[in-house]
Amino acid sequence: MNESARLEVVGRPARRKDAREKVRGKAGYTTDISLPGMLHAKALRSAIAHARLVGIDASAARELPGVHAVLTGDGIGDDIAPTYGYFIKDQPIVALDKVRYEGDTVAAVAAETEAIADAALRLIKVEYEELPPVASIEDALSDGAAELFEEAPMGIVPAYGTGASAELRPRPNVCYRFNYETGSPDVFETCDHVFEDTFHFSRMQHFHLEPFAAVAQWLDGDRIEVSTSCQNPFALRKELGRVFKLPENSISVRVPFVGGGYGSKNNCKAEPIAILLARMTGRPVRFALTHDENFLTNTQHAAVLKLKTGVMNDGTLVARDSEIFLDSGAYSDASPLVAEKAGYRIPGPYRYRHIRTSCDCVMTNTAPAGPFRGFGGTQTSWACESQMDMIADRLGMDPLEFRMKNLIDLGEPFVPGESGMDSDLRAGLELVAREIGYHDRKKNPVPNRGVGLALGFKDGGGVNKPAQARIKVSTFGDIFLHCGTVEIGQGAHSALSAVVAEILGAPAGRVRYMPINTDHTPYDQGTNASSAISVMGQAVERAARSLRAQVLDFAADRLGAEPQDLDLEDWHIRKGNEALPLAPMIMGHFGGTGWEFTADGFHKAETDHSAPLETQCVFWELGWGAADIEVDPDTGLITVHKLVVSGDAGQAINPLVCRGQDEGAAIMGLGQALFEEMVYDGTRLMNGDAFAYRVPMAQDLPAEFVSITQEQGHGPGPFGAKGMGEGGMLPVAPAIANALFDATGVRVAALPLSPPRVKAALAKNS
Amino acid sequence: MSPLDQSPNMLPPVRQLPPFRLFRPTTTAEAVGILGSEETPPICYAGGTDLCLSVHEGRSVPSLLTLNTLDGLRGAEVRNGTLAIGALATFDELSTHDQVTAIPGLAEALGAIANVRIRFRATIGGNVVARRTAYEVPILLAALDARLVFESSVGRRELAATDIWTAGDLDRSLLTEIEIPLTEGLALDYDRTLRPWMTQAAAGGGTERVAVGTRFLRPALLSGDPGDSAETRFSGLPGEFNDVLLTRDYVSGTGAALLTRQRARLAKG
Amino acid sequence: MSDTVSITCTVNGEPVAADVPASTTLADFIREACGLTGTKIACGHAVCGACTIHLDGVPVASCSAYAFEADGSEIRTVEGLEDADGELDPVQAAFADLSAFQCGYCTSGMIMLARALLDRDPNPSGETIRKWLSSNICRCTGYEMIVEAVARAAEAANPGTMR
Repeated sequence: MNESARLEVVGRPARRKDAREKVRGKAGYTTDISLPGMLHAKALRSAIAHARLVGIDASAARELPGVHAVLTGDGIGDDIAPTYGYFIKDQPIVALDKVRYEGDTVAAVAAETEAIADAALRLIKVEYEELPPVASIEDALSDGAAELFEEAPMGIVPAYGTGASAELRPRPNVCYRFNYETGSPDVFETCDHVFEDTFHFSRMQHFHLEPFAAVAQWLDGDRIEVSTSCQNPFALRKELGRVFKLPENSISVRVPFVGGGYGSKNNCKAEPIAILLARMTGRPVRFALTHDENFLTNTQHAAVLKLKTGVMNDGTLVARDSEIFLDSGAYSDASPLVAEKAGYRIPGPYRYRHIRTSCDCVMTNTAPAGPFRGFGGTQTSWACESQMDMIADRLGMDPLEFRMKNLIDLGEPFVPGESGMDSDLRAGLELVAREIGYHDRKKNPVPNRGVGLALGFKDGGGVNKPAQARIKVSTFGDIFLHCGTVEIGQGAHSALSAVVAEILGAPAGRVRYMPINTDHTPYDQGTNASSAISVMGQAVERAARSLRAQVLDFAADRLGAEPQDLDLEDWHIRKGNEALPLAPMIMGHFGGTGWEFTADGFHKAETDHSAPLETQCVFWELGWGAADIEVDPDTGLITVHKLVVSGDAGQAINPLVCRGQDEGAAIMGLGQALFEEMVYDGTRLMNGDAFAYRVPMAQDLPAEFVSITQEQGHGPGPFGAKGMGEGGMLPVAPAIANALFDATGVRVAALPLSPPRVKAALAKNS
Repeated sequence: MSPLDQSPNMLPPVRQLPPFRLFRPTTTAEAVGILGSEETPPICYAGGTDLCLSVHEGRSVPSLLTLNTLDGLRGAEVRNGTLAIGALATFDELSTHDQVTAIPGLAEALGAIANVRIRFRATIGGNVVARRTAYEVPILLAALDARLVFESSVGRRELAATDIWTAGDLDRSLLTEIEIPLTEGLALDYDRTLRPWMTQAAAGGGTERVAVGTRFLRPALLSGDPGDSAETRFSGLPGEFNDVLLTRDYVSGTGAALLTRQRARLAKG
Repeated sequence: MSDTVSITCTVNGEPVAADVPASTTLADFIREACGLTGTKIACGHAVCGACTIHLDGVPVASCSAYAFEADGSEIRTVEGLEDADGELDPVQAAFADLSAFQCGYCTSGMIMLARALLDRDPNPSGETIRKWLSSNICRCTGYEMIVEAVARAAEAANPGTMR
């Protein structure tokens, strides 16, 4: 391909590859799988938040006709490692000695129908010895608080680079602490002002419509085959291998379309129970949770963030010292990884001479918290961007000007040892400021109406994340793309296929993204961290370029030409004005049955000890946001008149898909800002179902909702692409809180900005 | 999820019911007879919206009595100074029903509750007998001083709408009709702008009746002279009117502010 | 009174006769007895609308309805929208062309909801579209592109008459 040629596939608002399947109801999900002889699993959960398990009597359940197996903790033998987790292996498949939250899994049943499994659960008797519950971060850290884990579970701390470190269980009820420091704290002494503020962040549930689900079977007694609604099949396979003490080539993980995840569907969820029941029964077992049970399985992290920021009179930021506490719930899940990211991202995309942060994962008797779109960045953007406006106000500066003065330049490292900023942050901020009418906002002031800005920020592409891809092309030019990026809605299969088509000079329709099966699919660490296009995209690009080179070399040999004089066009060799079909050339050489070209590609950011997280960040994901809001002082109700969000796609592979990522993320952020939260009364979740838990609906769209996909062209991915999907969520809540301050002079530092909270804040101020 | 009463265990929502017997009566009398004679009274089924939610929450269904085969209990009509609404009338049907206009604001209120899809199926009676604090018809009916008519094999029973919460076991009774007295100048304003935190119905015409509902609390009814200040009206709010989402202070202050607006809208007509 | 019911109905125009337990939900009847898995079950209690189908032309959450109600009725599911040649319904085509879906789990229900709207009001205002779409939940898209797709579908069926 001539690199200067116009892009033919990339950049077009084409139909996604999964469009016809999805609009016709033909796309297959894990929940649609039905196997001959398949049994159905259901789980019994604890209604007590914290208790020692004294005994379980499941004999009546086992005797119920149609019941094939009942799994309880005392039935798990030495042939299984009974707990799983990411860095810390603390979550049991079913409760072993204790239950740690209302909803903790106590037992599971496999039966011929869901109705029989439900009936069997009612026959299981459990005896508990109640322990004092730990409901919140404050509770967990108070003197004499009950401990969720009296002994430290097995865990690891990964290698960190310059300035970063972590420790397991630094104090009771804290399973992990991440630290980062750069520059001398002495610079605080030189600051004209040091501001200390505390922010509270509420907790949402992912609310994916397809529940956690897995269909498992044991083949020949020692091989596992599991289809699952999962974002990281290879990491899952590794963990299943550890739990079930099997080699990884005895475990086949298959992932069909995934009906939404937003972070939740990483690592073990429904799989261990489905697999264990399949082994106990010798039958395929389907374990699909109900939507309500999703609320009890994985959530976002509530957080308390304490920021101490040193600044000069002229608005120059000098130092940021942060203490973050994440409510991790009852099991560590991905909390240590979220802590790492929250701790790392809390400075925001600004220049400092000193940064110090610590981030604690605090265990409470509530549902386990894990990865959630934004991955700690939503929490830190909320605190950081709120405090930016607070500081600007205290200094008598314009918030936009204050940010402009301190933003990192294009190409400037985020911190020492890091990669350079790959977006022009000021250009993006100015763009959304103009779109919201920021510069004219004081011309015709309307009482209780205001405008706010925020710049959400996170490192994208994961840490130390390897990705492999393989491309095959048949004799007649049919393209097979094998890679492990899961189609979870984000359009990755279409985008990666478009990259292949572009490089091979083929129409997009020639590429088929092959079904994911860890037996055949090349390795990938997981579909998360906005890494599909930025990490896997690079592996796919390399594979495609390698394959293209092979084809041109092959043709050059056949034609007695030089490869650089040839081009590839819809499986023809373009040589000057001639277009020579490849198929006859291939069959002429390899025989009439033909042949396949095949090529692999690999990408991983290089290990680099000078980078705090051991590799430099792959790309920086930004979300520029602006809101024009009005508050009703009598009720505290905020109406968002206009919401503007913008991300930088670098190069949009498909602009419609990029737009959808930013808008979907922004509306999730809007829910978080205004009303959406898991409401706990002590340790009891009060709104754990779709009826009681309010998510944004079409009626909640702001009167004006503008999303702008920037294409600044500096990304590391194919054709300059950057990742998308999380950035749009990050700025929404702080932009609205900043607009509320602009409208009323009242700062609300806790989410959501619900009418009762806003009205109370207004009353306190007046 | 449904923490069973007293049980230390939590069961997953039931998606698939065990087999049950199905009754398909064609007359109210037949339906009432079945409710009275079966050893365990069947669960009544109409729009399905709430039944499926309660099944989901763990309610057992020994047998089901569908009301959709009945040929009556729909529509609305003005008779003897009352608006009588059939318990099986759907929200969609009522929101465009000409007789419902006898109470200005009522059709609009019923056309705003839930959503288009639910309004096609859900019935006004189902919304009441579900006795869920998050449902909204009881708030409207409290403000409108409505009465509920139940039929059972032992006869007819009338209940003030506000008493539905404390009426005890109604499993053998069938809600057939909702009656709203058409007092002079009766009109309704229903403010849902603060849902899900609180919603408020205000009925003018004679005594002013204001009903406030929240996610977790039974609606509070505040009534009195329409000449009272809005603050005075809310001074009658029960002392413990708090839930995990809001405080009594918030409800009383905000409710008074909403009432002032509602009075203005009612006065404008 | 019975615990098994005989159902005679049409599903996407095809006659279907079946005996099923009275407790069978309409969603399970469609997915399991009829094998039409395009209808998704998500929240399980009529809130999210992923299971929306048409029962005699009315959009219904099939997770919260029973199969016995379909006796003598016409059921239409997402699989019944395209014509015999596989030509997409204008709503399906607009969802595909404008990328008004992401994970796809709500998509069948959203499309059936939108189809029901356009069957009643072929030329809806933007406000009407938003009001109708507020019946169902999509967690992925942020709705704006779905609203646009429904407007596009109306426009495609009635060129030049958009409000």
